[in-house]
Amino acid sequence: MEIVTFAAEGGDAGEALKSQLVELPEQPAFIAIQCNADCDMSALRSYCRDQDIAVHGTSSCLGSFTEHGATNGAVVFAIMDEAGDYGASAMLCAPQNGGQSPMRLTAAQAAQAALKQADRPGEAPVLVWLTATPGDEEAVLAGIADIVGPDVPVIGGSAADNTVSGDWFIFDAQEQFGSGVVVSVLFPTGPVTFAYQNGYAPTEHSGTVTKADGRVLIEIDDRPAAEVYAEWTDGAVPWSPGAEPRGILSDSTLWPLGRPNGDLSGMPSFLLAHPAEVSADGSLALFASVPEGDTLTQMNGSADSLVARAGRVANLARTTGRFDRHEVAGALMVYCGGCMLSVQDRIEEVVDGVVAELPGAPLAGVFTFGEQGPIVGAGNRHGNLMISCVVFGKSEY
Amino acid sequence: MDGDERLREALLELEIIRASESKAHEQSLALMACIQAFSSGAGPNEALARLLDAVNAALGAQLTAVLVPTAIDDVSSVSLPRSPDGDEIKQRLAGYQVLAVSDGSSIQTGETLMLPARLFRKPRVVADLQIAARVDSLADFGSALTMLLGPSDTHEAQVAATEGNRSVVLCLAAEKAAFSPQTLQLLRRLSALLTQALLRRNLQNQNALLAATIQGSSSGFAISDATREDQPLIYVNAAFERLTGYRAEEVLGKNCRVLTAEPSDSPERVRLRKTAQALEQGSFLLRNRRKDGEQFWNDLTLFPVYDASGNVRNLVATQTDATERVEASQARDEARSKMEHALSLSSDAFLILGPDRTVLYATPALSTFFPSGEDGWQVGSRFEDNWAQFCAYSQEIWGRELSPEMRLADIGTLLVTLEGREIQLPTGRTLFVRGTRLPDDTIFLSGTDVTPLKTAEALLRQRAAAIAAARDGIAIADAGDRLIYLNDTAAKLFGFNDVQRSVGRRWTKAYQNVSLEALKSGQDLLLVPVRDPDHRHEIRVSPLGQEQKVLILRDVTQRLDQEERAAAMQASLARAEQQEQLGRMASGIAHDFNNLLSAITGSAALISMGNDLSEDTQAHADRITRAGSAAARLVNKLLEMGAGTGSGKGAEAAFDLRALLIDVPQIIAPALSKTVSVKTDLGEKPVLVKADKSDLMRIVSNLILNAADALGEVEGLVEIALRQETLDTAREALAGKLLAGRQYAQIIVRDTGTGIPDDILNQVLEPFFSTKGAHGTGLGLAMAAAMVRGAGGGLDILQPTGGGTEVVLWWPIWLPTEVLEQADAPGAPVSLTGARILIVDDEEDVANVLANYLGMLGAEVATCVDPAFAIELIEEDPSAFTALVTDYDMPGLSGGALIERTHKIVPDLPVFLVTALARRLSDPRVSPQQVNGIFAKPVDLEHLARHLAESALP
Repeated sequence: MEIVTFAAEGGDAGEALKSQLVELPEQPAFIAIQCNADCDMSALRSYCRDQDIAVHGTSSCLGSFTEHGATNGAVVFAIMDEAGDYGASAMLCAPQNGGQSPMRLTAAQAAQAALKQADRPGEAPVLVWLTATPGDEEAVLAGIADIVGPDVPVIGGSAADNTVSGDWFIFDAQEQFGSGVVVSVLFPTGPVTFAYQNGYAPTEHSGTVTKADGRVLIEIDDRPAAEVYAEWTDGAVPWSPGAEPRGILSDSTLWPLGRPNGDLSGMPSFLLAHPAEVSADGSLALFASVPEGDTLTQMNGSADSLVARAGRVANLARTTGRFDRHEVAGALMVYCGGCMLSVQDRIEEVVDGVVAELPGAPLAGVFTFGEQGPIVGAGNRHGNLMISCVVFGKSEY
Repeated sequence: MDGDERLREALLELEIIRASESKAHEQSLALMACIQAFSSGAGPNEALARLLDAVNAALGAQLTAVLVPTAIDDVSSVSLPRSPDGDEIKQRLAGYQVLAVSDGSSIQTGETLMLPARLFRKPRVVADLQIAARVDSLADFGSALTMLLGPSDTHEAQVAATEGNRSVVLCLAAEKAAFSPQTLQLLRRLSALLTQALLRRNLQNQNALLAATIQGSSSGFAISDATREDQPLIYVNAAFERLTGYRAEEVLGKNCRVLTAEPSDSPERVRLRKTAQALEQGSFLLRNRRKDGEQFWNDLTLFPVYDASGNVRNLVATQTDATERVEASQARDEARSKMEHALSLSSDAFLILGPDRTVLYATPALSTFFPSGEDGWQVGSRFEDNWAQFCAYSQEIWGRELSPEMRLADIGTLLVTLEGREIQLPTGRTLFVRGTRLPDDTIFLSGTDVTPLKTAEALLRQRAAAIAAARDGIAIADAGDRLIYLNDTAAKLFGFNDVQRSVGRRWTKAYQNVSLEALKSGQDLLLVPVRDPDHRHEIRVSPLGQEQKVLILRDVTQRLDQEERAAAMQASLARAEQQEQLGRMASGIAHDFNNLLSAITGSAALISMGNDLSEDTQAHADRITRAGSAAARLVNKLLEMGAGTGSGKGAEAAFDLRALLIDVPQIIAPALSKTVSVKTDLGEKPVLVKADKSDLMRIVSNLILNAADALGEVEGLVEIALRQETLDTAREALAGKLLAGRQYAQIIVRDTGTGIPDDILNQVLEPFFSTKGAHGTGLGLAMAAAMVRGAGGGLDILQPTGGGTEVVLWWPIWLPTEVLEQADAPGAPVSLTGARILIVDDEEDVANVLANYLGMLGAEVATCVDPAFAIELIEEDPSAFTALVTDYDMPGLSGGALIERTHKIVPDLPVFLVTALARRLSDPRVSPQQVNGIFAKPVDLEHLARHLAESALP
């Protein structure tokens, strides 16, 4: 099993990546592509379709990165593993049908199609690599579990564009969709390990969700959520009644809301929700759902912790798998797009931190608007402002 | 990062690691539980059963089974929907036998399940069995784990295992997605333990099988303790007891030498002893003794058994009663020895090869036919090596490389060629070889020298071919004259169209009037065929054995005709020779008589010239002269008359050859085949010759018949051409001599046949030489040659480049020459004063009379009786004489030769010929160009003197 990464920038990045792919000594079984939403990947997809290579593609906020640094173009993460099995399938979001989320069905179908491509129908893969367009990631996770069961780790991030204007997309070798899901099932011959974390600490502020509608948080403790949020953030994200609705994604990056997620040795654990917009009625639009009755805790982070966190997550993933550094074949990194925007000018520090933990290993990162991964004791979850890392080991079983 | 956050992060990482270790711990506990279960089993079977139960529990499965793929080709294809969208695929189902299964399972050990083979190609975590493998046998289960076991496990004896077929573990759970990748990881670790459990169980089964095999074996087994002195027996099986007659308790604790009947120093026993002492392996054939004293042959194999430390603990001996085999082998050896002796005396070659083509036996004759060096064809040597040496030997000794087929020595093909085959040896001999493969794959080859047979066969074939192709008809008839055999010629002569259908017919029916008496007489028969009455067949009948007859037939029609013609020709020749002899005799007498008359009349003339003659003397001289002249006329008349009757039919008359040749084709046409055309080209000018017309006609006819015969049965052309030719230089023809300056008529007979072979060209002119066998006389060309020679001509036979033969007759063209008759009346007196005349005549009297007469007329005369001397005189001084007068018929050198040579020395010297044979002279050298006048003896002296006066005076 061998992994390589390569990057290209500019309008013809897709062609450039294809040329590099053709030059590889061995045809990859699977490639993950992370690209700026401005990039056209059709040439690369077409080549992979002809060569029957499983392709998992997504747009990534302002580009991507490899072990050689960040790029505003596109990055390919290619796995050469003849004895392994890989499948990837992108699906357009199914139309609403009854009460069930259309994304759940879409994700289930995508998982089935991916297993079929891997010639492993009905089986549980070692890992599911996931990208969905933002909106209903919880349903996506449920759909995948419908097919592979709840114990298969699902790691991924939501597709992102550069301006949160909905230009994001996902694709496989066959098609590209602005709304949908791409699911890859991985049966590598080497071991796989991973970590899924955030870098925020709780503050003393907390309250109960008294009114919510999916991802719209309307009231906390019977008060307009935006009003409470402005108090908790000490004016960092101000709001006043009658104010125009506005995006607060950047302002709220260091101030996510924490949802209870068990505790760690007596200390509560949180899953983060990232406020994206504040509306005139004082409700907050989040990148994650908050059920009524949940307790929300104001979380707070710093630029330094966001910069250092990526390396630490990579290290955690490697040590969890008990890999020595030289046993690492490569790693896929999911880094919250919001966090990235907050530390955009220090992105090279972020990359250096990861490289320092996984020296010499091929790396590819994706900047996402929502992150999915397994929480210890809670299964696969969707969260915001998260960082995750999948490390592929060299040694075979 | 503040302290709270660091603490939170540390706790989080700790939690993750704890969770990870917790899983590892769970797996360790599960492993421990499984090991404990495995260890607690009383035996391998129970250990495997307990282990399977423990594995089942550790994985949270409802059923865990070890399966082995069956070798039975029970593969089938079923069509099943793989996914809810109805997408259908074909999947291969293979048979898997249940080796072991966890307790409480719905399937049983030994049961064979039909399962998708793809499930077991890789380790799998199946979340939805309905999708991954929809088969009836797994219908109750929702998910599964599969794992291949280690390759070192061996299968149950009853399972026909195939190479590479490995056992597999199948875990099943009722609900979907019951297993995770971590569960598979645990099973992966447990699979090593399962492999060990299987190995132990199989080993136990094998041991039990081995023990039962030994105990139930029909061969005797005895095991001794190799660690103790004297290596006492510790185990014998039932077969040993039956073989030796000893019960186990009677021999256990003792050395097995109690059985031996061999002397202690016998080589085989010494070898056994050494092998046992050295604790090594070996096989022996020993003469042993049963308990009841009966001896038997023991086929014993000894081998050591090692313990884990590599030390020999036991010696095992297997023993088989080989008495029957040994005795059969002895009988076989004896029979073989006898057979080898018998074969070695045979002149045939025999070779026996083992299945690996080593020589088992070879007779001495083999080395004679296929020599391969001094050590060739030794027992134990390889066939291919011997054959290679033989090939090399052939090249070296006979300088002859064997044919590729021989070099190949394809025994395989020979073995399937049931009728055998012949091969040609480099010595030229022919060997008939056969090969047989015996049931034990031994190859038996034999070779018989069939050269004498082949020679006789070839001779017979040649004879048969010769008879079939003979120009004579050959037939065999039975006592009833019915044909048993006949060749093509015979069938043709009998008038039968088909040889095969002629057999059985009565040959006598083919001829007119065959008399029984003639048949019995044994003489050659001359019979007339019924279908061809113009022909006559000569048939020789010879007895063949008691009943049969050999007939030799020949169509002699042509031969008989030719014989008739030859007889007529012979008679004609004899008549001609007789006349020739008569003519020669007559001319000899006339010659001599004329010489005498010349002397008489000449002398009378001289007497008359005397001045003082009396009248009486003058009257007497005149009477002598008149009487001499009358006698001379009488002699010449007789000569002419003799010549006329001698040549007959008015021969020697000059005639135009064209008039003769123009009639030849018409005259000869009946004798020619229709395939022969005759063409004549006789020219425009008359060609005058002097010849016997009938003889010349016969010669030309013979030449045309010869030419027609040369054409045979094929179509062809015979051309007759007439030319005139004068040679510049004289030359010898094939027959006769051709002169320079002489004019000849050329009669050319040309054919388009096969020509005359060079080696017989010189013989064709010999009398009785013929290439036509009984059809020819051998006289035709000989007669032609004789006649042209006699006529002063020649005969040539040419072989033109384009083929065929050209016979050329050179016949002298007749040029009229004047014989000067005597003058009727005396003329004026002649003076020869000043003339210097040389007279040559072998009759001295004649010369003297002539010399005196001419001298009296004033000439200076010299006489000479030897023409050779006359030539010398002329050569000495070519101007010494103004005229030459010579006789013709002289010994040594004829007048013709003298005239020719004189003409060469002094071309313008006047020459007069005085001869007794003037009218018979046909010498071409006596031509008007070279001779001024010819005078018949007795010569009219005055007439001669007058001619000399005209040309001999200077």
